[in-house]
Amino acid sequence: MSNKKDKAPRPSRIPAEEWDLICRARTGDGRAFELLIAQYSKRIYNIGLKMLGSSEDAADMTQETLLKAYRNLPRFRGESAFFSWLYQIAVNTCRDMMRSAYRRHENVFSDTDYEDAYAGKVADYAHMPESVYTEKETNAYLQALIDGLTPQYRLAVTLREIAGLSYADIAEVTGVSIGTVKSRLSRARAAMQKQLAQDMEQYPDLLRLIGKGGVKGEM
Amino acid sequence: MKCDEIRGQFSAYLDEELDAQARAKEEKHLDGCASCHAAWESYCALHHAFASLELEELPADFSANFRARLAKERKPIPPKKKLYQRAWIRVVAACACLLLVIGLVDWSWPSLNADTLNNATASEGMPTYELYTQDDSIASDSSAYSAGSNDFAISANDGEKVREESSNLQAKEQDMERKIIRNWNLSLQVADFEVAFDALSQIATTYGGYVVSGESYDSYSNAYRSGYIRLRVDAGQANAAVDEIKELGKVENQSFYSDDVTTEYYDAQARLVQYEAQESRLLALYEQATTVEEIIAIESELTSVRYEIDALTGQLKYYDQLTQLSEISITLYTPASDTQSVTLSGWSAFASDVRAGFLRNVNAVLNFFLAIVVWVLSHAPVILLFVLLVLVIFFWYKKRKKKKNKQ
Repeated sequence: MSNKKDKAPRPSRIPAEEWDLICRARTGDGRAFELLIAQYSKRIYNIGLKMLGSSEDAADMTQETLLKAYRNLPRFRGESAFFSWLYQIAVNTCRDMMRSAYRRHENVFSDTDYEDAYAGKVADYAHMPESVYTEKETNAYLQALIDGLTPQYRLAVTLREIAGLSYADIAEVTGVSIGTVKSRLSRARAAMQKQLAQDMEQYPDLLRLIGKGGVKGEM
Repeated sequence: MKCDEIRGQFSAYLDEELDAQARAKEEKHLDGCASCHAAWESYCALHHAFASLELEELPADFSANFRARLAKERKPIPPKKKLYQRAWIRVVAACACLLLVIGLVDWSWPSLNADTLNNATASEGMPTYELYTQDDSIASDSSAYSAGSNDFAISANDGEKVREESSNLQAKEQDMERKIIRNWNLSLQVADFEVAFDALSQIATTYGGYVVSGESYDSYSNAYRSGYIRLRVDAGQANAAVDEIKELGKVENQSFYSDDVTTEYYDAQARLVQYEAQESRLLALYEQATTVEEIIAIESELTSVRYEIDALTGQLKYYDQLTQLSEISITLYTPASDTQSVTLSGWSAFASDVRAGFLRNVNAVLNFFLAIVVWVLSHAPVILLFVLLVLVIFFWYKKRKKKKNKQ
């Protein structure tokens, strides 16, 4: 059990307890791995829900992410925090699934087309389903708001609002600069605010769903 | 205008990602501007709505499914080292480089190889240099004889007068018997130590000489027995004696050296004649001496002259002895029977092969690096251009990627 590699010195960014679990999981200890990912799997699932929209896809994505993490654990050297590494895998898995879904849907085979399809666009709310207003459920409406965002903006908002990451962490996970994260969030929120303001005019009931402040004034 | 700027920062302000200065600016404005304050409140609402969302639970069967799936997984495999990190790749690369180097060297410097190969074969023909030179010295026995006259011949170039003098001297020299001390050193491997020892004593007496000294000892490991014997034989018969000694065993080493003492000998002789003349003159004076002072003075002079005469006579006697009898030193080996069978006949050839090959390759490697330096320096403009091109492409690619990411 005591392979030299498993006794690797603990990187300073990783807490001792977590590092211990990582080392044990590396040797094939499934129980240790489950403990290691216990606090993250739910968040990953919720990231999946927001990014992919369906609970089935989100569960698939979560399992895929965790398995990838398990397989690649020996490659984790603690250069970033463990959760950051794990979310990176999740984000990549999401991207892959979204790409293949897009391909299936649009019958387009190149990734460049996929990226270009959303180029310059922050959000597209032309296809907001009617049900989100009538169901009177906050979650459904918020999901619809996020769904309308193009992938990059959707990812930024998800990581910030659902996973609760700092700008620096989002930058690390998505591989862009902090400045980019800042501007993406700002633009995504502006787009969502605008849509929210519009919807509120049409469906005043939303005011109750979205909470105390209400939405006033033009953005 | 100012309000737009403030509202543009709402997102970062909300996430508490503004620096202290920007945050203070934001707060100050919101305190003073009612419209922005209202906008801020509604801006927060969405964030609060997200925050108030409970995270959805994973599907009930997820955990069990995952555990089952994980059980099917094999143990995580330690990361494969990158291609260039793998040991065998390194070995292969090193071998390839070596082959390339050797190939390049052979291809680029055929003349060099030919030269060194010639050297190699030359030394193969003559396995040990030492033996070679020793043979030479024996062969040049006669040249040692005429060493003195060679000196004269060289100085003869200086002028007509000198030539005359030298020819006179040469003529004089020819009248004189040359005084040369001749010595031999031999190493012999013999089968039977005692027999060889006796035979050597026999030879010494046969050729008009005697055994000067002899010793024998066993080696530390008892692997062989060795001895050291010095003989003196009549100078005229020394060559015959040496030939006979060589018959006794296998000659492993031999050397010859001679010392021409002709000049010293006749110099001493001339001085002796002078001193003897002086002595007879002093004796004649002694006969005629009348006063005590005269007698004492002449006697003291005679004493010093006789001392010189004695010394010169002794020196001449010594030279006579040395030149009349040649010394032959013989080292004898008797290998122990069990080690006698071990013969490394191919050893010297092997060693010289290795030596020649080693030198050749050292030269080749040096020349190769020299060639690389020459190549790099001479191709510097092209290399520079190429590096620039690569850099341009690299930065262009990076920029393009960045642009893509920004989108």
